[in-house]
Amino acid sequence: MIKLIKLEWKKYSLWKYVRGAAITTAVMLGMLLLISSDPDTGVLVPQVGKSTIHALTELFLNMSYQVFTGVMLAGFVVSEYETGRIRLMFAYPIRRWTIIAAKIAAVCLFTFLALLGSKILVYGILLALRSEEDTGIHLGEVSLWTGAVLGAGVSVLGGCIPLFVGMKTKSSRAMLIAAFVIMLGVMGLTQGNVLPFTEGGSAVGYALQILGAPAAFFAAVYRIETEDVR
Amino acid sequence: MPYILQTNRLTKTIGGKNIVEEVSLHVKKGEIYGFLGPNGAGKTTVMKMITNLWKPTKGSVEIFGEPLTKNSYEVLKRMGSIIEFPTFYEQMTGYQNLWLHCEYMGYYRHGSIENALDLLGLREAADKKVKDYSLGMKERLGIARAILSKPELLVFDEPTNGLDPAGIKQIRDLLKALSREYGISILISSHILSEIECIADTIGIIHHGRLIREIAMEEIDRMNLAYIETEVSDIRRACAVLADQMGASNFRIAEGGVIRVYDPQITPQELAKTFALQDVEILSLGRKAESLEDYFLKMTSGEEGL
Repeated sequence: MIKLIKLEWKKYSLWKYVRGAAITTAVMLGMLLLISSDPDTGVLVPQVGKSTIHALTELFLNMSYQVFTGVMLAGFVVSEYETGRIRLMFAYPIRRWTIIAAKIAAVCLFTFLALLGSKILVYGILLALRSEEDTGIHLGEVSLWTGAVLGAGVSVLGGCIPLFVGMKTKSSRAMLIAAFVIMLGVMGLTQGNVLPFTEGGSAVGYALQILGAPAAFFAAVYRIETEDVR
Repeated sequence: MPYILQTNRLTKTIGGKNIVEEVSLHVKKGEIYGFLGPNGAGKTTVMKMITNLWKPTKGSVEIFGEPLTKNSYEVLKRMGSIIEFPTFYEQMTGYQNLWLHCEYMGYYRHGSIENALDLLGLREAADKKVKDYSLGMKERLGIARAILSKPELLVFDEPTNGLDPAGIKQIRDLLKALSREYGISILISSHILSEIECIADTIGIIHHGRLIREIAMEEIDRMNLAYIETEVSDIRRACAVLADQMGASNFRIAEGGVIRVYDPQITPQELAKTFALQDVEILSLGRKAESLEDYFLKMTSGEEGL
């Protein structure tokens, strides 16, 4: 499996996605700085509406990387069907299920690490501008890191849900639209726009992503060994 | 007769319609099997089922003496194929695409990639990105990939598409060499009948999803496809002379008002003499041979077989 994952990264020029991740992070950081700065003085303010800078950082990065995961999956998995390359892949002496699983793992592993790396980078930059108290980013607190890791994991899983749409329609475009819609839905659930903003409301959003990802994966590869390759 | 590939009443039904129906073809070890049929006849469908991309609705495929199942992954190691058109990772070079193929096939032999590139005349383009390849170069790269891991069976769906005449000849010679020198069995479909005629040992003709004839090229030659073609001033009288005076039963009036006599006992000399004696004026007379194309057209136009 590790070899297959490495081959996926090689085929799709991982550096292209590293660049994409860097741009995504830079844009999110720019937005954070704009939203969190006093319009008159340009200095970062500790509280933005009901949120802290820390909460906004988590929200912006998690949501953007959730869509990023969908974009990568569309390229790694669904475009193989669109270009007809899947006929080549399925002519290899490897289980179809393993081939698709390797592709998904290659995307998830990359986006998870890229998201964590982005969070560390953004935390670092924010702390260089304001104190831990102002930003709510306390590097010494275990909860910060468990929250960052869990948030990254859940977001990447949530990014896999549109794969169901992509595999059923065999269309990257449909998958990208689904990725945006799901991202907005998740944001609505976890930020109190759909359900009241409570721990319970957020938990529903997170639970849907955690459970939705394996369900989407199962639905996407169900019967893959026996289905006709168009 | 041990076959390296055979299908047994292979049927594929899509949306209640039989795309392919009860196809039983047989490919012997080391032979080139030409799979002929008009567009939409079902050639690609059969080939997809042979390469396990599509699953048969009914019937079975047997390769290397083993039935093909959804778990027949080891069989795929011993096969090379191009179905419809070859696809690549276009941002990678030709060499990298072949390297990738070796990795997935688990085939590691020093110099094999260079060898394949040399065989297909692609050594100089090896480091070019595939997106910059011409259609013909992509076809050749697809063939290089298919033969790279020294398979025992090659399945090629119209592999000369997009190639210029020189490229077609190169592929034809290569396929012959692979079959004759290395004993590789090749199933090849093509709409260029003269290509098949040049290289095939056996041909299978598929029409409307049914395999209507499977025949060795030797047998086609033996079947006396040679005939006498004559143009006369009075066709009706000539036909009467042929039937009554010469006892010929195997002749027909072809396009352009010419008579074709397939009866092997009748010689052009005898025909000319009899017609002269019976006052049938001969405008032209000669012995001709039917090409595979004629045979194919006859088969697929619903006429009686020879």
